[in-house]
Amino acid sequence: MKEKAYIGIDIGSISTKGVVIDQNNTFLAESYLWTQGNPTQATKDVLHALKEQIDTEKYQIVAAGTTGSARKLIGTMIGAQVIKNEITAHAVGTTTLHPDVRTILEIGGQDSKIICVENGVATDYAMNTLCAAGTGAFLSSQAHRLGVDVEEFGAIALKAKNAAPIAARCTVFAESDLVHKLQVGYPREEIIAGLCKAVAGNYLNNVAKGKKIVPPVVFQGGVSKNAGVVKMFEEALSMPVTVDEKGHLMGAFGIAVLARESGVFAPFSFDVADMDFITKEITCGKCANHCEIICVYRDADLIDAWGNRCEKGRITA
Amino acid sequence: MNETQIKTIGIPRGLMAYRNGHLWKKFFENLGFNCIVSGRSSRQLLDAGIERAADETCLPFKIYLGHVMELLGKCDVIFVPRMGGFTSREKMCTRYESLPDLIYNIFKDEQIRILSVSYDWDTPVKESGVFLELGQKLECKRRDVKKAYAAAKKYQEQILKEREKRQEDLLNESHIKILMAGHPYVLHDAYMGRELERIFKNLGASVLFTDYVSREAAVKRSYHFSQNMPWLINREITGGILLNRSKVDGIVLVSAYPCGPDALVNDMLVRKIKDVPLLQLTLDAQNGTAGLETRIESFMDIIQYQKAGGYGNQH
Repeated sequence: MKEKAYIGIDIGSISTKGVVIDQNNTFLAESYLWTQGNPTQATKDVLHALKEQIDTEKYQIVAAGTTGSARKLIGTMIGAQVIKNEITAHAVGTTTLHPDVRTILEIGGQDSKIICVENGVATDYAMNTLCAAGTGAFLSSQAHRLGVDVEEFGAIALKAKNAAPIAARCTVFAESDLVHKLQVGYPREEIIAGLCKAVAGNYLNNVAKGKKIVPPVVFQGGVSKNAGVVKMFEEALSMPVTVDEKGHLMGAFGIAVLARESGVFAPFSFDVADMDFITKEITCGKCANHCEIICVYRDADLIDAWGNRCEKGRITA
Repeated sequence: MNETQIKTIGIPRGLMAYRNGHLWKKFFENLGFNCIVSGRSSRQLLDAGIERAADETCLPFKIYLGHVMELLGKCDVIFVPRMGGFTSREKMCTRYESLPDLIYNIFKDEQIRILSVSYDWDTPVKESGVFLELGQKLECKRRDVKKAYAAAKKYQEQILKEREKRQEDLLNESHIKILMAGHPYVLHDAYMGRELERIFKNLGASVLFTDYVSREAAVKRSYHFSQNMPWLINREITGGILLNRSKVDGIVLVSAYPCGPDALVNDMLVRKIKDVPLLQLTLDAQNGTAGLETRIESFMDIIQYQKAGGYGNQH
């Protein structure tokens, strides 16, 4: 008999992540790629990548979970047993690998969050509410302006002796501040270090405002790969900040763990990666709310629809 | 304004109508007027209001404008009271003090007829006095007005008592209990709080409200929290929270963007209430509820997993 395996997919606005784990939460396969505004295609690509990495003779995937902003769409598409928000997925993933964690810092492509943990369970959280200042998207656009790959930011920042002061409260201000600093002759590495410092400072003053940051601290999300930001967090908090090697996959891992724990098993087939999925948006005209209803079709058959505020807008498969 | 020609009075379903609407409507009806109340809020109504409002005003005010517009042409006069409050530490937001002037100016071209009366915090007047003045504006007999007010007040008291009772009963249920805390016109508006209520109920929670608590008891209790907080409604919200914090599983502070009093008071509440899971939600004119659903679902998970003693990953 084949061994049981579990799949988790985290579809964010910028990147889509997928993992396959076994009974003991060991990673069997992983994939990380850009969503590029097309969560359906990104998921198909992730599924293809995962399929190549696992031994289908040895393992049978018996449960699937989805999380992230497109969790509902992709969950419907692949027939996931568990569809859950990213806060819970990250909390479960992180506490599985770091059972003593007390604070989870997360900075992703377009949003950021903080999760406070006590005795292995989340007790409080906050998400950025107003804008994308200080997230991965902000760093990418500034890297582009400086003609540097964002992946090199960390290494360059660590070389700087000082960090140039940059106002990062708002992306627009940060950008004009950055241009000004370049014009007055700050070295590039100090500006990059300044950007990293601004990201950490912005996060602590906005998302983490009013939250008590208790060690051990785990930092994850795409931006955690930037060693410059990690260093700035450690300096600002005066405590060590752990970055897990799998930190960028924590949401996908957490939802895979939840799928395993759900106990609801059904064989999962990678064939969904080759099916045709289409989504259509309809504006419901049955009342004055004009809800935007999303309809999902698989090979031309309607499989699910959502977005209606009331029963009048209900569309059933 | 020739008050004697008034037959039908329109009440916009917004702002303080969610707190005092029953009293107003019954009072007018007792005096023999027809009353029409605008319908429930919708996207269309909000869009209509946004078009007439200055950008920086709050979402509930924009919705209120939509309600005023819905009443245009359907009544002889629109009731827009000037609610200042009754004492200097139990005042209303300045928006209510200026409401009739704002409405008058915004709809200058339409030349709408406004019926108004002032609840002033700087002059020692009681509510009965305010209604006496209102009745006189409508050219009704003093004795009839007194009677109409007394009966309307009794009617409102009865409704409030029934709500309190229903809420007390909910507290005995075993569902997860969520206390929604906020201004009544945010909590119960179809386009604002009711959306949140629906999401919570879909997730299996019972929903309680800070305005379904005795107003007198709540205001009294709020003085334990702050001696000098100047807003009556925020006092009622604060007192409603303090009286129920130990009986519920979670509290949601619901605010509509931008609200000055909430910005100050909610920040203080967040810092002082540490014994119950607390979520802060700010509603704006944005379309769709995906962001709200994620936040509410995460909050419900926190409560449920805490009750369960953790995620399954620990054994």
